[in-house]
Amino acid sequence: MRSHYLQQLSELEELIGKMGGLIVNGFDEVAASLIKPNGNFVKDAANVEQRTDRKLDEIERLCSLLLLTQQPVASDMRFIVSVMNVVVDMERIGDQIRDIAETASKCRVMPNEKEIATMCECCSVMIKGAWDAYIGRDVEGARRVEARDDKVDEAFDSLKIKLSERIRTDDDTEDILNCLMIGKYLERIGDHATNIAEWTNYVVTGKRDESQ
Amino acid sequence: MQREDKTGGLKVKADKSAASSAIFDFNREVVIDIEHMDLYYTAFHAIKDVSMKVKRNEVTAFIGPSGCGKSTLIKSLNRMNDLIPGCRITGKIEIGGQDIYAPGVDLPILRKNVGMVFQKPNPFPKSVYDNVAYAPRMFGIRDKATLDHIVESSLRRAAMWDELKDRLNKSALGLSGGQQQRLCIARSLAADPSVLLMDEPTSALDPISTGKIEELCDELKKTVTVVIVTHNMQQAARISDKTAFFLLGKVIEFDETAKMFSNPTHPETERYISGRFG
Repeated sequence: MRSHYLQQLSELEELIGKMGGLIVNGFDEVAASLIKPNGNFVKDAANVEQRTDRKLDEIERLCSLLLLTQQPVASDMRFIVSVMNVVVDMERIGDQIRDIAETASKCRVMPNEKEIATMCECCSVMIKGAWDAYIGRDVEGARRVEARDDKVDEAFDSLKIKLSERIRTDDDTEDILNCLMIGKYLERIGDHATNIAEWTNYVVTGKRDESQ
Repeated sequence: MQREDKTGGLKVKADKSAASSAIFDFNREVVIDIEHMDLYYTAFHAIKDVSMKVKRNEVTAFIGPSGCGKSTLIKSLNRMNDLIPGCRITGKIEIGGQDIYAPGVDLPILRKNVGMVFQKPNPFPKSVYDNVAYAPRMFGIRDKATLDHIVESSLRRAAMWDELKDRLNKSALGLSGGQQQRLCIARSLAADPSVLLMDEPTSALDPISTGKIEELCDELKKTVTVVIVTHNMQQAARISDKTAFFLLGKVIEFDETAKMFSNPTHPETERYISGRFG
């Protein structure tokens, strides 16, 4: 019964799993490098970004083929629509992992604000949580991810206040701006993880959030 | 008694002496109201406790695997099943507020109001004109100008006047399959039905003819309530407002088409429409 179709859907699940693994590990590595940079962290992050891009192409091609040849409906349709959106958020996370590494590599002193540490910790939990929720069709898990995004936003607000103070007193303006950029990338990663979580709701219920 | 309406089709009111109960009211919101209907072919229980309300000017699609009862049900809506020996129906089917299985229902009047198009195009071996003029003549219209007007407006409603206006006296059997099927739709429209039943009307047609009939459904629903049986899931999704999924004689799910195809309630519906079985 449509065995080829079911096989293609399994392939899609597998591809999306691999892309998720890339960003989960890639983020943890770049977050660790902010505390203790190894010599290769910029190259490693660029590699994550390139591999994520390649997976995006592969997944988009398979989604287009499924839409063209199988006309999916019901939960299959919801899954494929969600994949086509989720991969964009994942690809953006891949870009931001690279951006964080490149920005950090320009810092004379790695940013050591506690807000950056808080955001890294939250984003790591959020990416993993969003991923587990999406793959496991876990609406409750997705809700926990969405709730955690507030913490990232609060930390970023606090970071901006702190850096605006520092910019008045410190001479190292470039490091301060780099720290601000890293904070902004982390804040965006939190948003992308939240989007992925919201697509979990759509796959399961047909609605992205409860207000719909 | 007859009169012509603004769509150009024939409007016939039942002669009171012939069928006093057959006064249909098609202005009501629910045009087809089926309640606890069961149908048996001798001992075989083909339709099981079906209840369904079809609203005016909507296209309703019946889907389901072969043998699930969808064609049997659609044929019951203008009593085509009366012709099958051993067919027995219980429960109630009201169309236009009339119990169509009540004693005294005039079948030609019922079928004038509830037209039907079948899977295989079945034009009469007559000219295009005579096919479309068949029902009006049957109901007593002889005036040439009136007949001409009904034929033209019916062919226009079936989006084929421009194709056929110069071939009205040619045999309908010389038309392509797709044209023959649209001619059959025009022939039904000439009787000015309020309900049009279509039993897999495009399954024998090429994609272009299929597309024309699908577009026609969208146009027809402005004036007619359409019920269509289809095996083509994408067709049901494209053209219908509501969809009913049948399985083993039961209606498993009946809902808005957009909801049925994006987020069905019943797991059996999901499995069928996504090709997991059937």
